[in-house]
Amino acid sequence: MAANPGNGLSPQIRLLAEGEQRLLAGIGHVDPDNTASYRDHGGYSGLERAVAHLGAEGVVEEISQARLRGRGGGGYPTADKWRGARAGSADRRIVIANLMGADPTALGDRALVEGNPHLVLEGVLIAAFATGASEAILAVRRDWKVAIARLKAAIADAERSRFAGYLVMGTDFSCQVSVWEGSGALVAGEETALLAALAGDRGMPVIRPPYPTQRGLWGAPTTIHNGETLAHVAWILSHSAEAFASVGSEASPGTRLVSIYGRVVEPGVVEVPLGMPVGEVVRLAGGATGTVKAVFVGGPGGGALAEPELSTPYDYEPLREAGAGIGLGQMLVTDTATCMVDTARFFLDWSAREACGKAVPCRIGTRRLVEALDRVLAATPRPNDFTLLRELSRKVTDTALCNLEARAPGPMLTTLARFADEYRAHAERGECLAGACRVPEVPPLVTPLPDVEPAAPASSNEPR
Amino acid sequence: PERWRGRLDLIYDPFGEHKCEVCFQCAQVCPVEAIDMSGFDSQGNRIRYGMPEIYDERRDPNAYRRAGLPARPMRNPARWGDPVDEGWVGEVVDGFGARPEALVAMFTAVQERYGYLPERALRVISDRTTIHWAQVFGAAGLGGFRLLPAEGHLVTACTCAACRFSGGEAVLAALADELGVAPGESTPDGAFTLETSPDLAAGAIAPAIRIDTLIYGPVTPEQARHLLGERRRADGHAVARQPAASASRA
Ligand SMILES: Cc1cc2nc3c(=O)[nH]c(=O)nc-3n(C[C@H](O)[C@H](O)[C@H](O)COP(=O)(O)O)c2cc1C
Ligand code: SF4
Ligand code: FES
Repeated sequence: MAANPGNGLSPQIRLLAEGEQRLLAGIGHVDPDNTASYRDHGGYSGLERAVAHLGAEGVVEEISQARLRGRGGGGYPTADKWRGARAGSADRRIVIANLMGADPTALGDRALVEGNPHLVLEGVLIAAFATGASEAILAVRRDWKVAIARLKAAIADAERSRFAGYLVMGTDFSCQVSVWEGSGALVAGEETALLAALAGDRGMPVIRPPYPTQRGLWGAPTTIHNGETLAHVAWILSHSAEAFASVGSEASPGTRLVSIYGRVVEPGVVEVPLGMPVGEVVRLAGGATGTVKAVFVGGPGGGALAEPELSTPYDYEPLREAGAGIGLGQMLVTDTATCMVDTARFFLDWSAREACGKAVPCRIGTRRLVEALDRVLAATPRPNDFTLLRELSRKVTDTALCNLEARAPGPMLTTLARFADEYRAHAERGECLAGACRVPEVPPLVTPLPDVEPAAPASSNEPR
Repeated sequence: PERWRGRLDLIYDPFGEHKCEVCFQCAQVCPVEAIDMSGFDSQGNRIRYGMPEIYDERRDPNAYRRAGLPARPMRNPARWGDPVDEGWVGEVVDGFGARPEALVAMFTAVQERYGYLPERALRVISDRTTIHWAQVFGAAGLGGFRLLPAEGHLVTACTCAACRFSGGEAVLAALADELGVAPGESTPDGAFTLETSPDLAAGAIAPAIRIDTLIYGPVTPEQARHLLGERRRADGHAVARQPAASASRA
């Protein structure tokens, strides 16, 4: 059951004992403030193996064999990113650990840096060694005070024991690691927005290419990785590529920290192998308190999976086809007493508020979608509202400067496709089928609204 | 203005609803600078706009808007202009070597002392780091810092998805009812300011609220009311002493 027996984590984070414990295994046993304790649990063996035996290419090869994919939501193969960063000649290369925790409901990264900061630090050092970087920045969300303090202590400790700083373990590899406290906006987690904020500008995304690995912070090739990805890098090198790929799906091996919350018996962070059906993950968290109506996978940029879709494997591509997404591992479980239209409005409104404002369709388009949903909720829809919802969503997605905007209509489109009756009940009769919304009395519409239900599947990317 | 013949059709949509979002783009590209505007967007939300190069940075309403503040003059402009120990702010900036990437750290230091980011402090930061002051405003606004002073205790109700779907709305309703104000406003006696924020990251202790710097969770509506009552009683007999630093504005 809940595994929080004084493992030094802040109260918000509850670790679940179920699932495939790898990254979370150390938490509670390793003393986060003590390098020796980390070393006793096999810590820094991965870095030693990399620096002493494998060499930079060997490390890239090992990660490539493990087929590790980025856990920041994009699922980009880590080895390919490293090869891109290593290409070309550059006198300065930087590695950044993205610990911005943009979505406050995704607590996997926070559990890692608070419970076992050395694991992430080792991953950063290995990534720096593999990509030939001599500087590493841990970009941490400024609200995580405990995590920042522990990371700073871990860096100082690592430098004293010659795992970081100058001439790591007597070799010619040096890496200066520093902690940077970033703001708490949702868009601040996006890699190019993070680079902009690091350079002192507004945290706003930049059009790509050039990708950060080609030209990143102050023009230097920069490798940005999610904290969990780096923890996996350290785990792979201290174990083996085969051991890593022993669980997980064929396309995406390994495990993923999922933050599950909402109507579940045990909300918290659980480590699950990728490819496990979503319904199974919900069961791991003690199952839903009521009867599951929909599971929103991927946070504001994800989507809703109804009862029949709960067998979808928790993996990058299957979730994307089902209209949801891995995101940062968020999973919201809702029961029959939750109104889908209201939940879609909540996620869309959150994206609209957190939009940086740089792209006009992102800034104004998401707000127009929220206003359309407000009209539906207030049972005073316009005849063209549902065509507007779909047309504008496609425009917002197509002109997206970053994935916050590209995925923002996800929750609304998936709930509209899978719970069209709730939308029709709200819009035409002002009645909430879930009984959750207090809707003003309105006379029912004389003629039914056009195209509330999804049109015939014109294009393939229309979520079912 | 006199001799004006134009009629802007952009402002309203065919259903007669307000369409303009005061994004300043038309004013920006108008060759004869004939368009000037200030106003509120349709939901009165914090507004963030595009890159400084696109917009005309020199005008004050622009900088306020980019910092996420209402474009029209503040209800109490004097409050924004609160006195600031500019020497101390200068030391903070020099302490970080006036490096642009330490901008967020400077904001955090100023907010920890004043409870928000006064304009004069932002101007000092802008002068010493040579970053354009409208960009400094923008970075502060986008970075989730407070740009308006919080009177009295700052009560923050978490509106993240975890709290929202585990009873957070009832807690917020109880807080608003107990204080008699809507989120974003202060109580008439200046004892409390209520706000909502999705950044409390309550996770397993959802629904959560934060009073000044202490996070309480999970909290039922009754417990929320009780916590406020506690603060009132604590303030009740503490009124003789100088209130907490963050609420130090006379
Ligand atoms: C709106 C938005 C928010 C994001 N927030 C985070 C975040 O908080 N942490 C993170 O590691 N990646 C975040 N990402 C993903 C990053 O853009 C980037 O892809 C990722 O950090 C790269 O690491 P990876 O290669 O390990 O996946 C976010 C992306 C978007 C579009
Ligand atoms: S301010 Fe922006 S939204 Fe308003 S009319 Fe001008 S361009 Fe259009
Ligand atoms: S959030 Fe501004 S463009 Fe994506």
